[in-house]
Amino acid sequence: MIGIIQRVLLDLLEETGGEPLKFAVMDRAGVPHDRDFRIDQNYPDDECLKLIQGAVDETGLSEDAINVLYAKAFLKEARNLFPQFFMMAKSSEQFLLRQATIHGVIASGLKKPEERQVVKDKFSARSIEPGFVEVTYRSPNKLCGLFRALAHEVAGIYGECLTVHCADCMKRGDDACRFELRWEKTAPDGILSSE
Amino acid sequence: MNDSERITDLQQVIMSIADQLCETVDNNFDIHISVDTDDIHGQKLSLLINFLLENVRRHNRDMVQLNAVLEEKVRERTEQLDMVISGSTDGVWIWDAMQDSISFSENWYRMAGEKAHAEAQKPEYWMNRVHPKDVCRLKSAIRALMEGSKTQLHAEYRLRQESGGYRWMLCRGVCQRNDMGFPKLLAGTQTDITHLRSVDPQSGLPNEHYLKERIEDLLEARSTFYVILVAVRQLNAITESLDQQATEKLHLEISQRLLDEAHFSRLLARLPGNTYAFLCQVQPGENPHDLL
Ligand code: HEM
Repeated sequence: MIGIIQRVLLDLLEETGGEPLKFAVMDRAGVPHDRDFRIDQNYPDDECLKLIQGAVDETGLSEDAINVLYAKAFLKEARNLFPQFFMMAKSSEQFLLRQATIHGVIASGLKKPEERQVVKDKFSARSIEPGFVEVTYRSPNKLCGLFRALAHEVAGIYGECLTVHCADCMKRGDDACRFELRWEKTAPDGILSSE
Repeated sequence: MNDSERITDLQQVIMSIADQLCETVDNNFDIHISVDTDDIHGQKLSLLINFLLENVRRHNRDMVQLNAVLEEKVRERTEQLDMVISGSTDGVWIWDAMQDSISFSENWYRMAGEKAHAEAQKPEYWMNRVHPKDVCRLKSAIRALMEGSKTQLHAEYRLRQESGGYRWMLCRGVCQRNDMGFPKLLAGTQTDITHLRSVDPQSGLPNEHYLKERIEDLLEARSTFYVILVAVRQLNAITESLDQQATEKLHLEISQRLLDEAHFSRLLARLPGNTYAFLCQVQPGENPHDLL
């Protein structure tokens, strides 16, 4: 897993519970305290999953609650780091259609072509009709809860309302998750449009 | 890290990325940019450059693949075209308008009774072989094609044989133009139409075209000659009551009888309207009246 995911989680933990919380979670995952997660490098998946689980265990929050908090923090960091991606998309629908490609862009930072391919193979998105996007997500990490949270958060950034229906789900034994994303016809003014 | 340390660090990152990118000067895009910095913006810059490089590599790969597909297509088409050309008796010519040189197919050379040349020829090579009376017509037809007043070339001319005589050719061609509309390539075929043009299909005898050309040759050479016209009267009235086969037989019989009369130095031609013509050159010392 590319380091941006772990980096945002550790920053969020430090921001909310200070270094003690961050280190406690790192200890649970067996990650050394001086580890600097880079956005252009790959780290073991199971280490990342242990960090997420560690955050659930240490905070006592539910996985869903952690996902929502994480999604907010992640997108805040993503908007800081890659504002252009958000400017390019005029709506959350456009942004989420491009999300798989954005992952591909970040994957280019990895040196090994096979590692880049793993990242690229996780997501694909297609527009079924205006206001309806289908995203396929295939990953041993099964972070579909995180996907939902991030998708809703993106819609929130644009001041839009989105429903996410999980038509297929890896957690229910399907080979991949298939998310049906639908937008209401009219949307109130978003944060981006008022900026 | 204070601000000035950060700036120095970022300068190092930029210099390092720029140095690594110098590799691309030899069209080597198969490189991975790595930066040794904790600065997230330095990492972001390097990964975006890697994305760009990856896309360049992908496009290069696509281009190579596309090229291979196109080359295969061209090879296939060339093979098919070669097959068509070698299966036909026509000659093929391709005129490179930029170089002003023409490549002729083996058949084209064979039609002129010459051995094939691998290298392209200057247009004069062709024009010098065309009968002086036809060369103007051919040149102006080619000019009309080049200037665009005609979209297709269609010209008949006599092509000199290595052995000395002439054979009638029909030349067809088209012109390809560049973006500015100037002729880039002219290409076409050459068909030997001597038989079609000079022979009466019914009797197999030379026709009026052929007779006319021979008369012109003799007039030009200021030779003395005579022409005897033999009109077979009421032939139509006879053939009306005959079927096709019998009619042909009758024509052949008439031709044969006249041929028997014709000396080897005389030419017998069939003209329209059931008329036959003998053409005979008078040799010095001969009296045409005696010959008659
Ligand atoms: C600018 C915005 C975004 C950036 C830069 C970004 C970047 C990344 C990166 C680098 C990873 C790690 C990939 C790996 O190592 O396999 C990742 C994982 C993930 N991202 Fe994003 N992402 C963005 C937006 C989103 C959005 C909007 C969604 C959902 C709607 C999303 C869903 C996920 C999920 C579910 C994973 C975990 C994949 C797995 O390993 O199974 N991302 N993201």
